[in-house]
Amino acid sequence: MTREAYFVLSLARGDVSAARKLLKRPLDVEAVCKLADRHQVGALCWWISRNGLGGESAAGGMDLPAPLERGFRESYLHHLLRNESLVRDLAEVEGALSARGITGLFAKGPWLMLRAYPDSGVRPVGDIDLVIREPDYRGAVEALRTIGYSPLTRLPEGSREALRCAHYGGQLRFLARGRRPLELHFRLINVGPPAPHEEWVWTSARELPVGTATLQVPGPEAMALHLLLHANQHGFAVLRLLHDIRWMLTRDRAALDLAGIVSRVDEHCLRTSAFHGLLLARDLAGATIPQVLLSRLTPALLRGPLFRLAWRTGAVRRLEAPQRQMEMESPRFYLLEMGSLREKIGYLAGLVREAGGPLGFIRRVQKLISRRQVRVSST
Amino acid sequence: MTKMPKLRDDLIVREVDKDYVVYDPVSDITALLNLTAAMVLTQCDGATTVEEIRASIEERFGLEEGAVANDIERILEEFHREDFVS
Repeated sequence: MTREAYFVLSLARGDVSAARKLLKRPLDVEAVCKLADRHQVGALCWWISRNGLGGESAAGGMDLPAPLERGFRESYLHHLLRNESLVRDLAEVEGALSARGITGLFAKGPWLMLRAYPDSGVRPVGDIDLVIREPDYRGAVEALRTIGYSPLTRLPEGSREALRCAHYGGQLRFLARGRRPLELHFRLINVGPPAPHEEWVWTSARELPVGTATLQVPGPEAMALHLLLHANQHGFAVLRLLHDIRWMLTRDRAALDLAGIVSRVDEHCLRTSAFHGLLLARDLAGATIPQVLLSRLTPALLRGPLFRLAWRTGAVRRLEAPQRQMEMESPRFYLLEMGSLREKIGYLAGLVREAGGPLGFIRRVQKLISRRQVRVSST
Repeated sequence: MTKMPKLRDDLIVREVDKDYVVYDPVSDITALLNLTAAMVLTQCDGATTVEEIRASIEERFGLEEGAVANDIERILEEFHREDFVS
């Protein structure tokens, strides 16, 4: 690992003494800024340098070289104000849905930003991820239109087609001038074929007051599963996704039903992925993982090494894992890690069908491979 | 240039630990302002004239009349270019 990568890792996870030691020899400041930006932890690094870990540790902050301080500070200010603007958007989206009697579930971003991280400016939130029930599809689309959102691509007519599209085709994405982009989902666990229903996610949801509105957000176990899945969906290539897990665990430690998480993980055949997600969050982001959780999620003998090979966790640990298209990573994740053989075959058939047949599917894969590496949207 | 410039309603302007910051949700850009620019921007309410803005800044810094006229004009041109004010 480069010294610059080690510096970003150390500072973001609050290991101020390690970061201080690294500063005793000159660092490539530009490389540090680029790395922090690529891993979406610049604002967090600034906050830690200013405050240390607050209540979690006695360690205070540290002085940064001026160009680094400036770069991190600007990132913090940007996300602080952008998130304030997001709060306005969230309240309007919730208001538009409520006016039509629709309950939406707002995925990880708002709760992480306002409740889990120590300051709303340190957690970048790029998009609004909104989960709705299928019968509310048309109503939700109309509600979004009333506040200026338009779909990015042609929308499927009915809710069944929309559900299929969201899981086998592409995301249902909406844009509005001056607002954060919005993605419509029908399942919080949006990897692979859609589960027949996801009532447990709705019944365990909690309330989050945001500006003038009160949002429904995932409960502790649903949030944990959602974040673990999300980190793997992006190939663990963005450090911020591991910090999401870390701060979720910090905030929800007392509320988490560990047996409940293990049961949900097993239900989705996610043991190896969840185990490694937690290990990476512990080692790279400084998360405190209950030992009982790791023990109960320990994968079978061969699954661990195969997982580490498939997801190149060595490169992840050096902050060198490439960021790839989520449209590629998500199916790869399902096909490698989730579901039974029969379910995998069914899912693959669904992908081919949604692409218009085998040729369309091949063209789609080629198109995705040929695209350049992308930034992970900070939802 | 508009005689009574007005700040766009959707912009977020804040003072954060002595930094004056403006966020434009349309361009998704955040800009750091110096004190003079921040004073100009926060007075762009659509009712205050450019002359009144200039006078208030000169009074605040104890400057003679017209001392910051060029600066104010330049700042407002920049705000127009960035579409911060109309």
